[in-house]
Amino acid sequence: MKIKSNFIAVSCILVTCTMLLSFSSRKDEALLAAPPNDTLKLVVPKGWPKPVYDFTKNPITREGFELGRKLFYDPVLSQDSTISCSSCHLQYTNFTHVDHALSHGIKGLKGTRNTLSIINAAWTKNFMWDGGINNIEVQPLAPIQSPVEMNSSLNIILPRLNKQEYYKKKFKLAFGKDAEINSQNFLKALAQYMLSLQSFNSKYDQVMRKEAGVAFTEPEKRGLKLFRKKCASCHAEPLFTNNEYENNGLAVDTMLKDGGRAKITHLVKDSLKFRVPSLRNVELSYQYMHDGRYRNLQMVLFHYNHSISNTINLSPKLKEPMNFSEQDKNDVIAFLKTLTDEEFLHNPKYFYQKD
Amino acid sequence: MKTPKKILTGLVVLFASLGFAQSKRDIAIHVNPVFNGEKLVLETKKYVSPANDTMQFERLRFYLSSFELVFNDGTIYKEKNSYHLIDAEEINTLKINLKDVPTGKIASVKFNIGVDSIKSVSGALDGDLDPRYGMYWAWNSGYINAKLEGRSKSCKAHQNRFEFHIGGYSFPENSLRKVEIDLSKNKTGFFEGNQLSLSADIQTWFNGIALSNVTGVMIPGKQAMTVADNYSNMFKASFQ
Ligand code: HEC
Ligand code: HEC
Repeated sequence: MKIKSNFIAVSCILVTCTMLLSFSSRKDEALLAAPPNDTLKLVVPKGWPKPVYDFTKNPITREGFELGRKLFYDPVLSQDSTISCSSCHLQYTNFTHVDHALSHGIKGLKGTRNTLSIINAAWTKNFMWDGGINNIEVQPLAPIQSPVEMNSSLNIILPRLNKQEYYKKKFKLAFGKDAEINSQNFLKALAQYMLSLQSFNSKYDQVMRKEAGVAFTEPEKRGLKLFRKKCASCHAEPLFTNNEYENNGLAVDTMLKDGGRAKITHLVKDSLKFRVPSLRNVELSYQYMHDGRYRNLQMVLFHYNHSISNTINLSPKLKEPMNFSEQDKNDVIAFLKTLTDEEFLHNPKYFYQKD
Repeated sequence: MKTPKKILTGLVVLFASLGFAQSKRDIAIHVNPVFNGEKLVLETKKYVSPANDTMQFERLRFYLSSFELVFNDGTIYKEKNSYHLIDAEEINTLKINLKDVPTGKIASVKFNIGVDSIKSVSGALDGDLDPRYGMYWAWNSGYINAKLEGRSKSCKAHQNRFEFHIGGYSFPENSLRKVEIDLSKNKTGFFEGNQLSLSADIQTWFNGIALSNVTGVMIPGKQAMTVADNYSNMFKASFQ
């Protein structure tokens, strides 16, 4: 037992050290530093739970990641070759569609939900606001087939990719010399890219790791305290989500009539519940909530403080009023801004690359 | 060092093939879609349902999975990686080859209609489970276990279309159905051949279903469960 816990402690220190090293050197990232064909491991930061995704069947490789990145930025995936995944999921804005309440897709058509960010997806059990998608590998099928997003299909995309020498070469590099451009490899490559979108180097993380020269300001400290008391039961550290479904008291939008989780489970007890979103980089992922009804964090704090609607299945955690003062609200917002991870948002390895 | 190893494997292969060659065979299962016993013809032919709806069919697809053959002596043959997409429009999908079945008297055949929950949460799969065949739901992950589409004047939906997409893999809306077909009810009392025909009677889908009320099922739930119960009785076996 002793040996084991020592070993864990040592490996944790090692992981943290490598993390710190790779970040302090800043120029080359763990992912791309590995030689071709090497299996690249996901970083599990100290204190984080085990990832949910099973990497044994789809280990991240440099080539797989690069192929996934290419596909993520390629509008050839949409019916009229105008929309790519990145049209709605932009890196600078935490891989969401900034400033849009409801996402816009092909021909400017409007969807019915606000775009979700794609970060630390290896820890996400079920995807989408209603948790309807059970594996990140099959996630792309939803936007691809949606008539208001990409209005396309695997049967449209795969022959297109097959016509390009570039992709023929890249699929073989990523999945072996006999690999075909087929649904499975296409989806696995996209998954590899998305799974590697890891954010864990915000000011909050640095303070938690007790890095030299980083400290919370007084408002941030007070904000953290309030956050832990009033918010963390759902937006649980370190992922800032408990991955559960909750009704956080939003008044029902009678136009959209979105039942949330109940749309999937058909259970009354899930009506109006939505997946608790992570708050990492939340400063940049406005608009907020599943229908993007709030434009800024002030409005979100106003909601939790003053406008909780007592609809069916309202979480018991929100039945007591928050009683935040103006200062409290500002403090919580100051804390939320410490979750911004500039390095992640500007990390060139996630950019579109020409080659 | 290399040669003896090669010889050894060669010998093993030789003995294996000598030992088992005669006692193994392939069995072909022919799936024949019918309506009330008559061969199903898509598009052109009209059929009348038990609720008196006149209808034409345009598409019929379903998964058959986890094939097992139960022998008279109680031993069981299980097909490996047993997932088959049957598509009435694709003749080559109507024949399933069970490989390397031991010889012996077979009392029954077992299989599932649909895809089990494990495969339903396993991400991007290939072969017949490739999500490109229109048998996968994008917005609510999981396979469509069975699909039947067509037209009927009784349908008040757009273009008089009906669409039954039956799926759902989790309790209490799991529409996977287990089927066991007795092969002993004949003069020999068992099946010993290598050609087995399974007729799939589409009329069963419509037990208690009037197209004037139900024009389709597109989500997991009670209605899907009812249709799945209905079609779990669609198979009948025949063989020489
Ligand atoms: C038209 C805008 C649009 C496009 C294009 C788009 N998405 Fe999305 N994405 C969304 C919206 C909106 C949601 C949330 C939908 C919901 O919950 O119903 C979402 C959710 C997601 C999620 C779930 C995140 C989570 O934590 O649950 C992932 C992953 C994702 N998209 C990946 C992709 C990929 C890969 C592509 C390209 C194949 C893509 N998206 C294209 C708008 C878009
Ligand atoms: C009962 C659980 C619960 C508690 C407690 C809670 N939240 Fe939330 N939060 C949610 C859910 C669920 C959503 C998504 C709701 C939706 O869109 O329908 C959400 C959404 C948000 C969003 C929008 C994120 C985005 O990307 O759209 C922010 C910001 C937020 N919460 C901040 C807070 C803060 C700050 C507190 C504490 C004052 C808090 N939450 C307390 C469950 C909770």
